[in-house]
Amino acid sequence: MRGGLTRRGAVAGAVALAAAPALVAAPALGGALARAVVVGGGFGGAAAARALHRLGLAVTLVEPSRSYCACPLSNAVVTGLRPMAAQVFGYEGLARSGVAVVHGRAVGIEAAARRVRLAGGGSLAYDRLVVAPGVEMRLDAIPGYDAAASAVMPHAWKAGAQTEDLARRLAAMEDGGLVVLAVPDNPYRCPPGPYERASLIAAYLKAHKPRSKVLILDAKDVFSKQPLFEEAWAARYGGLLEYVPRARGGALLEVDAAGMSLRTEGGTVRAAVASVIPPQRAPELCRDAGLAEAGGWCPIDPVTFESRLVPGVHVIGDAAIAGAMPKSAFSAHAQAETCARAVADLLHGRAPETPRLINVCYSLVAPDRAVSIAGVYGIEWDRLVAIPEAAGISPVGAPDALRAREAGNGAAWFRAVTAELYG
Amino acid sequence: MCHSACPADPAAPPCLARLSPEAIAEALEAFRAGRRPGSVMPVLARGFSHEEIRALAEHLGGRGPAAP
Repeated sequence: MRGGLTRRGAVAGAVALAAAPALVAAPALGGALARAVVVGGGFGGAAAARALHRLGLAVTLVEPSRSYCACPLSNAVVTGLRPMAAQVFGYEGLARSGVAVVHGRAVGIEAAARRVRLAGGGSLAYDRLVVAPGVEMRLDAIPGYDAAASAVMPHAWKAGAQTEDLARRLAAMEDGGLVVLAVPDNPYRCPPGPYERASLIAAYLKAHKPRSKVLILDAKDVFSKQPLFEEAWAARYGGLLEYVPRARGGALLEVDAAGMSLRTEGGTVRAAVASVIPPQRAPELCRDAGLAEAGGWCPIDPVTFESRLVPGVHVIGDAAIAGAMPKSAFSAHAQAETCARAVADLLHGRAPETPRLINVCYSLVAPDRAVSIAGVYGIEWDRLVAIPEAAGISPVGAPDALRAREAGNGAAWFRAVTAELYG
Repeated sequence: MCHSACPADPAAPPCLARLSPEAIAEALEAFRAGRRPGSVMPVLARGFSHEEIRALAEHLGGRGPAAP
């Protein structure tokens, strides 16, 4: 696909030329397959590994876990609509496809020597490294919300044990309890996710514990798909759901996990069940390797997703500063495809084409009812921007049939993408 | 990706591999011009030029087995 609409397109060739001298030394050009190492086996990492392998590289995927627990749709696990097993995928399919899967933890990057160090010793050589590490929950950002508190007020923002724990706490709560959901300021993983979680909790309370309530404490005043969530909340949940934005004291100041209390600018509330989603940043590996800037995220070139700070290392997915693109599984997948093509181009001395990326994201507002946001992203000079006429949410006031269809579309995307990446 | 669950998944959006490039391009142009309703697709179609739509349709269309 050709860029056309951007100034950056005109200089893409220059970028590739600048990168060319480093390639002369790459063993790739000597006849052996070029080696790509991918760190992280989530949506971005798995997609990058598949794409790089398809493009003819020798690919090694480094991932500590034996299975992947997917975040999209995990809010449905929290409210008992979906079994945890439906979120879990193994790496056997990737291995069968020809990707070498190493179950280990990458702990360091030697950029000059082009090697990734693994925990417990040993390292892997690469010609190009793709880092797709996801996010790290900051357990030092909210006073009182440390690792021990996160076990009591689970964020469940990395699908897994905390997701099941939150589900158990909600199921065990007596009718009349207050469920508190604390939401951070931008940027964070899955911008509409907290509001989907609140919606599904409200639906659960309505059906099973109608004297209860879910309270959203938000550190911001505007959020993704807001008109659609507000429409659904007013129509479906009434007094079962209350939203407190920053302007009305929603920002969380402190938690006391032992007392199950949360203090905000607006006062202190006591919760029967609390889920605190803390601020996030790129994981330790990114910070140690010099990939992250002071704000905690990784700046990248939007054509290639190569780090602006460490040459030869590409960062995709939630850890990257991808301009206007949200931190979503769909975005990570799109970035992986773009990055893989650019990596292959760079290794062959070709100028990477200026990419156009897409994000689509569905959120459940009730069981089997969903709304969507979609956007197309292009490059304006040195950053990824949303193309203004190609950004929008599903229509407000749409018939119920559209919400039902969008729930089906979201589920179909999940089945297709997980089958492609992990099948 | 949303369209690739076919043909096994009847709930998925239309199966692009079963459509010709011409049919895909026509649908995208209709979404882009507002002649065809939808939620996600009109938004996405507006992000691409006529030439890009043609290239996309060529890339996506008619790769799988023909419709029975």
